[in-house]
Amino acid sequence: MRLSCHNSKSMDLTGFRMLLRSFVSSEDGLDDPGISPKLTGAGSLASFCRTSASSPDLPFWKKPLIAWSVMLIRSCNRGLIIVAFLLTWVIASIPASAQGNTVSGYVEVDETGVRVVGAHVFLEDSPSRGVVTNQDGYFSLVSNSDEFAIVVSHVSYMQLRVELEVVGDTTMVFQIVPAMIMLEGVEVQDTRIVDEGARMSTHHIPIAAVEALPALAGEVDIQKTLQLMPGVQGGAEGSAGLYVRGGRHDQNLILLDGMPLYNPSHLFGFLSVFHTAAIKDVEFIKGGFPARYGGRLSSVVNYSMKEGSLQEFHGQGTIGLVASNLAFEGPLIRNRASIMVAARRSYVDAIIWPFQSEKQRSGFNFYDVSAKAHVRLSNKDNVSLSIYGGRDKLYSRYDNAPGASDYTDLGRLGIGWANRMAALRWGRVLNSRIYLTASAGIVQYERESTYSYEFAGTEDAGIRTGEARRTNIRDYVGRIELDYVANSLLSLRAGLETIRHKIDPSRETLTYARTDSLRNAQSFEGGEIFTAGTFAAYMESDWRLRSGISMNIGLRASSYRNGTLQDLDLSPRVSVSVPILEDFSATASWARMSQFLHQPISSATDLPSELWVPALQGLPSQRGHQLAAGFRGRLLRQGFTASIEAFDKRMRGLPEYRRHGEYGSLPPIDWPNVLTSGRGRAWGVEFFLRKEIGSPKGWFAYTYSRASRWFDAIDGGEPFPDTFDRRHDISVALTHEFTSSVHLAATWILGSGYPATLPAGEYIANTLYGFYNISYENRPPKVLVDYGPTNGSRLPPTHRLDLSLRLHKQFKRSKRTWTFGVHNAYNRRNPSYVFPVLSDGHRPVQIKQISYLMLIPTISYSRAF
Amino acid sequence: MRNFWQVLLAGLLVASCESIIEVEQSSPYESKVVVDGVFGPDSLWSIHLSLSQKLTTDSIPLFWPVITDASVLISSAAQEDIRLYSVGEGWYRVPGNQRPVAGETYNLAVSNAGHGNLTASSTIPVLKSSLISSFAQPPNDDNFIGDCEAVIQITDTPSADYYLIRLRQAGSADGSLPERWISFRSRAAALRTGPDALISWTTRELEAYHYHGGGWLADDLFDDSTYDVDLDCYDDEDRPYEFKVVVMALSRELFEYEQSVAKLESYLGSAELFVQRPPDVKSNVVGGLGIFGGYDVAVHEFGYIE
Repeated sequence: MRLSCHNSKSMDLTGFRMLLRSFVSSEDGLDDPGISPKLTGAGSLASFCRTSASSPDLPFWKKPLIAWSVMLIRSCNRGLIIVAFLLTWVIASIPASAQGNTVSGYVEVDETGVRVVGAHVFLEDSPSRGVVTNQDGYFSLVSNSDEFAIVVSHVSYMQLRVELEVVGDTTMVFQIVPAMIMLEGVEVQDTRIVDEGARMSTHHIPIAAVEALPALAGEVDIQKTLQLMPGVQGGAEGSAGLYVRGGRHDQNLILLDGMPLYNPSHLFGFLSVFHTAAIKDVEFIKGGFPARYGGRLSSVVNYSMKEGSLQEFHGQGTIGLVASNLAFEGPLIRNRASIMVAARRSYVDAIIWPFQSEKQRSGFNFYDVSAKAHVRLSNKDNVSLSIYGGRDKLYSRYDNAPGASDYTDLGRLGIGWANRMAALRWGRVLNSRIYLTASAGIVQYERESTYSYEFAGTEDAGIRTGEARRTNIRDYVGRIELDYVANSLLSLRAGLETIRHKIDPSRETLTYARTDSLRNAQSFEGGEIFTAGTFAAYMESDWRLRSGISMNIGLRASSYRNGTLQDLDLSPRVSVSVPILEDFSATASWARMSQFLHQPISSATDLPSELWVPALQGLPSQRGHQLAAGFRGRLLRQGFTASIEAFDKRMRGLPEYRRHGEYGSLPPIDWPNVLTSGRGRAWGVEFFLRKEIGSPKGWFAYTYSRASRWFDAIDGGEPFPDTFDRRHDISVALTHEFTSSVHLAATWILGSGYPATLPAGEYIANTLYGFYNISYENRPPKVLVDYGPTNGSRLPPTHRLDLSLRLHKQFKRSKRTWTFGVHNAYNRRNPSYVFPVLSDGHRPVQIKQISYLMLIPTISYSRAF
Repeated sequence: MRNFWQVLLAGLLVASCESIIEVEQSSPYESKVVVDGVFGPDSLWSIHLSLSQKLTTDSIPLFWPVITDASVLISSAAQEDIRLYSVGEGWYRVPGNQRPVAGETYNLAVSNAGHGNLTASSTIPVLKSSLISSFAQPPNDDNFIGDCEAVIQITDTPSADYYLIRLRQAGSADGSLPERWISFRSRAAALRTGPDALISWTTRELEAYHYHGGGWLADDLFDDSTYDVDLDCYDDEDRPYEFKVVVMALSRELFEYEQSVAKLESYLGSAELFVQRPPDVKSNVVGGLGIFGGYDVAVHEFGYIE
């Protein structure tokens, strides 16, 4: 069977330079010497053409899947049976042949050849019938006509439009130009705003936008940009935490190349581990979750690591106040294999080192290394290996000279935490409409605090004590996924995911020894290791009806096991978009989520004292569902997009320490007796106005929300505001390019105060302890504090202005950037931590706040080549 | 540890600032009735009722508002209802010599026109303990420093999982040295202190123990076992070697109350730690604050006799 192919009849790329690079594949019989694409415009099109022949026989890949289904059914496991049915449904739903012309291929960056994730590819005459490129930059689009125009659009790139006349299936490679690369004197009419289908509550954050905004101490942080989105709180002032739509930060599924990370923070939560030199794309979802995501209740932050250029070597380095980083990328084999390595290290310890004595020394440092190797085995096969490793370390030691006092001693203290991740990913084009992705990886998070003390004076000389507390999580992740484009109106995705958790939430080791003798050496180690497993199967379908209505309907089935606890969850997901005017649409979604891992925190410090505990007997898993509805659209056709969304989220199984002093401790104990479970509800309205093109760019976000909690063990089951219940929240981000080399950026936030539990009353009562020889009645009573209802007080509002000025200079082979900034420009004292002063009978009672991160100037220097 | 955090934050944060702020209360504070009622077989029935106050006064009040016109009724399955009468200053006592009985469950009902009704319930556990021996080695006035050993046996019962143990040494005969608390260490699971006692420390015990001003307040620590108490015996010529071991079995509500008070005091003593949410004081009084909790007690005295 042969289908004629007439690629790229013409290109309409208004006002841009033209590039032409034809790509003819010699693999798999794809050669077609008849292809002679004509290109006009900026960006480029590399295309290749192939014929497709659909066989009525069962495709080769279906046989093992069906066999697998049969095997699962035979296992008699309820969860696996559901999985098997899902799988069978998926397989059965894939027709052996389909009508229409299929245009499939990749979208990649011009000049580097790096594949573009999240680019919208759609038919110009029906924008609602588009697709989004996957993690490998692959797309598959079906047209019912032979002549049509395809548009490729991405917020970080110039839009590409291609007119085609094809018969049969065609494979193409679109090369698009980064938006920041503009030719002098060219009037740009940018229309990079596209229909997003049924997706809602989703933000794609261009890395360029992140880099343009002010950064604390010069450390560009993607998660702090996410905090500026509507519906997102940052937690304690200055932290990089995410509290999305009334959820806690353990309810965020943070993925790095598909692998979950558990505590992706540096510097005690003030920085995230993600820096822009290593990341190429960020997708942030806070509602209407597609079925492929699961395991967390509140949000998905999907980071894609950057791939190295296939064409030439590039690098960049930045020197900042806190840390410096270096990134390098380039081809291992030109046009076939590439590598990217990015590393960062802080040097606070090195700076303060000369100012400390030999006997008393403290320091802190962190580092991270990200690397990704990517190989295009063929036009059908993409393989990548992603590696991340990072660590924070705080240390302190003091060595008092013997004889200086009766209590001379030698003490050491250290706190450290580390994330490690390795992921292997294989993507293969099974045919023009089916894309297979398989990935496997290992994730590890560990935290350790150690303390040792050696007595050197008086009677205790020679006694050495030590204490160590460790948290360790290791996940083994496997995932297989199929993308299938059935026709111009329907595409399907199905997958299987398995995660084996090995979690040691809190291991305590105590040692006691005499340095002069082993006679009394003793040690104790306590803790419990959990081995839990999650198995999930999911399927989702994107429907694009002729009326313009888009729907994403999916179902995720999860089976969880930890010891004697077996938990099965079915989570349906629905998102709908209905056009109501030319540029406006109404959206609605409902999603049910489940979470099998808990991260109870006992304070708002965001310090790495948190630990993860799996759901177990007596400590149920979390469940939640979220209903969201709103409107979105374009305004004024000047590059403004606007959306308004209302949401209502209900949660249960939320973990919390029982409210009696479990503050910050890591007890290796009977978890159901320490933690209690409760319910939560959050609702609110979010408004988002964004200008993505031209100058100035930026956005305005406003959120009104409420978040409440109910715990039987707290306040007698009465509702109380969540710790991060912020009623009003405004974020403004603006960037302006005065010239091509002078860029100014500002962010301003305003939020009403967080709730806090502070002393409300006082009273007297006796205690049994003490004064036994005094009758109970005659004992002097204690003055006790009545804290009233949980979170019954409100802290002052928070607001802050951050500014940055970036000066670029382009050299022949490199680009230099000086960044000057100021954090908290008008020196606002925002509450980071609040505590009452009650000790020693202090009156009047004072509520003190500690404000971190006052006015901080920043300077950094970077060079890219 | 506290110093460490201060050093940490000073080193990590480029700038910080401490200031006094005003906070907004979500609702005005309403005074609550406070029940102070700890009872055991060694005392007559006695309850104290007072009112909590809003915490905005410039000084700790010298006089706390008390309730003198409440109706206080104690009932149990085995005994007739006991009515307590106000004797002034917020105290309510039984007119006769009625004492609580170990093993009984008592219910408190307080009605007061101005502050609503309160209820509480508590069961007095039954304590069985005995002192087996004392002084594994005799004290030596000639610069004797070492361990004195006492062995106490406690028989645990299902209803009594919470204990309070205190150890005291008598004061000098002339009164110049008062009776003193003795710190003690033990290899027993019940009485562990840091790295000094590390044998077979179970996870439950780590949760349960709580240091309480020189002694230990523990739950679920005794499993019908014998354990040792090592005393610190110092060369103290003026103080007689007369010791008193006070063992108390607490009801669960009393234990939780005592434990939470201790935690609150610990929290307030370290208020500059960066902890936002404080421990609150546990109360089993429905509709109010305070404690209505029972205990059983045994006192074992021993000494070295030359």
